[in-house]
Amino acid sequence: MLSGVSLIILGISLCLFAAMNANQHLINAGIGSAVIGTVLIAFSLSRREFESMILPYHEFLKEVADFMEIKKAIYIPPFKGFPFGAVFLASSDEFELDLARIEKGTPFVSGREREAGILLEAPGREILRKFEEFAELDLSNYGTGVSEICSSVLKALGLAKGVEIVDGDELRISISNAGVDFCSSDCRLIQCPICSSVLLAIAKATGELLAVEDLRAGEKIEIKARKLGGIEKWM
Amino acid sequence: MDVEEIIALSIALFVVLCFVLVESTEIFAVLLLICLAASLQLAGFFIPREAKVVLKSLVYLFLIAFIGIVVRKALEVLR
Repeated sequence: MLSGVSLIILGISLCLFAAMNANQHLINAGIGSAVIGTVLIAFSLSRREFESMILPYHEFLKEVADFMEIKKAIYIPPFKGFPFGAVFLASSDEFELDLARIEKGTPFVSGREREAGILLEAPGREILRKFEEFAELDLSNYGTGVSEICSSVLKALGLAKGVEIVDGDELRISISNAGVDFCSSDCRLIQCPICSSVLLAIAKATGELLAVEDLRAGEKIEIKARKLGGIEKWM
Repeated sequence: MDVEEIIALSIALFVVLCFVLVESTEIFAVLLLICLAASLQLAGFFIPREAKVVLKSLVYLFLIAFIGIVVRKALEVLR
């Protein structure tokens, strides 16, 4: 920011000085300097606004989850009515989910305690669209190699530096240098759009439901998730 | 290095290169217009919305200068 302002001031001074001395080459230097300064300021202005925009929504969702005593977040790949997948916030650790019974437009899923919860379109849905827009393909059945697409797009959008996925007994996802500072272990139940987009992308790419088991925020955000099988198993 | 940094660096390098190679202010301004317009078009996906607004304003500014240059040259030819 400071270097940008300095360059603009230098550019204007150079232009004035060059105009007095009728030096065309110096006028070019002034214009060039002012343009570079403006470009630097333009890029520095746009950083960290993402956090201030999403924090109120994130906190609101956390309050709803607290009120509903949510115990687990389950990411669901695309199914009827949810072309970009969804997230089911279950009220019980031993949840039961019948996707055939679920309809779009009824976010509160009622029934026995095990069946109750909230069904939402995941907060990372729009970033998932960016993943597909960037890759120019549908991520369905792409596999865990989707981490490279997530990395590229999140890095390009300035939301994270990289995404790594280790596929073993359980999925271990690490997101480095996320563009938000409010990440904490509380995000195990409600994820911000960045983590949500990665989880949704993995659910879509593997075609399996994912249960978020653990989330640790530190230098990297580390998420442990368990694969729960494909859509057919839960119909 | 972020994509944003690469874009800013590319624009800066182009400006320096134009400054070194071009003597005329008119041609320099037109080259800057082409550089900014091409950057917006080619790397628009990676440029944040706020930066895009500023870059677009710069393009409009140079476009006005370009129209001025063209009109002046046309008048010169007509005379």
